[in-house]
Amino acid sequence: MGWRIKVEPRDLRDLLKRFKNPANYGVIENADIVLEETDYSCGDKLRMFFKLEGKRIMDVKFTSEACLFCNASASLLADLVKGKTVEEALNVKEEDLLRLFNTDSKSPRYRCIVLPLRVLKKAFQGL
Amino acid sequence: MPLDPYTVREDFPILKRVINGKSLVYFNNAATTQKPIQVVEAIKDYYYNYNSDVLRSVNTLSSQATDLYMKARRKIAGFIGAGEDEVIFTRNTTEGLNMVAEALSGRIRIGSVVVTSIMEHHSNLLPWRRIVARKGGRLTIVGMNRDFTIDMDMVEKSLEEGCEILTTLHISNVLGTVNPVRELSKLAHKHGCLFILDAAQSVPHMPFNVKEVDPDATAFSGHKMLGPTGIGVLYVKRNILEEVEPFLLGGGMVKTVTLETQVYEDIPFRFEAGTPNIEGVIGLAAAVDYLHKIGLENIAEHESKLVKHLLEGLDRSIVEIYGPGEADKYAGLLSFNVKGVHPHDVAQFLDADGIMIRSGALCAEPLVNALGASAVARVSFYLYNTLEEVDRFNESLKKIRLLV
Ligand SMILES: Cc1ncc(COP(=O)(O)O)c(C=O)c1O
Repeated sequence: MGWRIKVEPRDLRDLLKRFKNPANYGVIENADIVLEETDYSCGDKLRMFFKLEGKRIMDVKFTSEACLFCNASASLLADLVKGKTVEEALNVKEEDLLRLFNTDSKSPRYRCIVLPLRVLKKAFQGL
Repeated sequence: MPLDPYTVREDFPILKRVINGKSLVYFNNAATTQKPIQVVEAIKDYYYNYNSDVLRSVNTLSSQATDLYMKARRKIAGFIGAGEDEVIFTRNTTEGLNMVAEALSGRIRIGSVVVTSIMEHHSNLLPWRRIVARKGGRLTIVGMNRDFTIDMDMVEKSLEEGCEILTTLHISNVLGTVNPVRELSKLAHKHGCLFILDAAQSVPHMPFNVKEVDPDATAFSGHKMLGPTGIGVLYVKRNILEEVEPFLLGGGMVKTVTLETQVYEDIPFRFEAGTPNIEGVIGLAAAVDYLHKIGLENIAEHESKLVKHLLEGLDRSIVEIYGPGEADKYAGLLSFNVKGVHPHDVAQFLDADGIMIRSGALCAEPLVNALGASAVARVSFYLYNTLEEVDRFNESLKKIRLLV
């Protein structure tokens, strides 16, 4: 049985180095939308802050009690959608995030990686 | 004779698997255990040769299936020293605990007190919280002693103030510590209070007899003791079973039905409406046979050897260990955190070496938070684990220094 994902300790180390103090971590004081979600299966807790101007996303930040993968994914997602419209952000797919980690939905870290996207989609629902 | 895990392993084909290029080390036994050939074969034999309805039809196949089913029930009841009419089959511990809470809800009135502990798995907290909320009662949650077992002084104080039900777990699925269940049941009964026990982590790992422990009800899961998923056991004392209402109504639980009324079946069948999980019961009986053959004493002893070895090898400069910290205070599991690394990342790191552990809040969030953590990593052993595997774990964990 060939599971594709295999994260070597070395990769983890690189990830940790890059995301120990992840970009976009923090609070937006006058955010337009703040949403927190906990993943029931892993317990990762993620809060995301969005600053909008009309339909354009001006800033995204997050705080968390979460693992490296969730933090890294939130940080990357924030970069990805900043400056985009809400509609464009809603078009980001799980696969887009998973690809950044060189993995797919069979990864043991699948839930950690897609949690930020779930928060974002919920935040923008009905906008 | 002490247990030889290498002989035992021959019965568990899955342990030969290679994961991420390494031979599998399965250290997640508190979540669920692997199944020996004997259990899988028993289920296969049932389906190939005896599959039928049970306790209903007058034909040879059904009689043979019923005979197998009833023998299995007797064996499983005997395993915990219960009468065969005191054992109800459920899906798992969670269902068992929910069923007792509902069944005993008649005893909860405005102001009634149910006492539980901070150590509980969510499945022994939420059902009681809902019942007391619905009935206008109160839930008292007692804390822990410094040795990470339930605070007996606080239990006694709560019982003296008047209480209907005391409910706790036997072995903590987070801490691995063992609560003094005999004292707890004596204390409860002295104060005219029922004692309900979550035995999910004890029945699979140590000798357990309801006559000695004397709980009024106790629940455990087949899948945590080499049996299949979807089968659990709820033991309830005969006199209580006789007095409570059945949960589900329908086929298999009535003697006669007219257009106006019905007469319920005797216990325990009154509580097992519908076609039962026959393969589950037969598989669990095979698991019980297997555990008997090895001996529960031997399993407990083997696991404490593994815990001792694990503790000796853990590097305390990077690892924070939860619980008492002395090997003889743990049953076969232990939780820890690596300083500065999230437990999911620890789990992933070990996974790369073929080692499967559990990380997270372990369905016991209040306890994990009380330990000052939001998540932990957990190692949990069973009869097929070896000292060599513990060495592999300790070696792998040492490499995590690269991360911190
Ligand atoms: C102490 C304890 N209680 C209850 C449960 C629930 O068991 P199950 O998921 O089989 O219902 C578990 C296991 O997860 C447990 O460790």
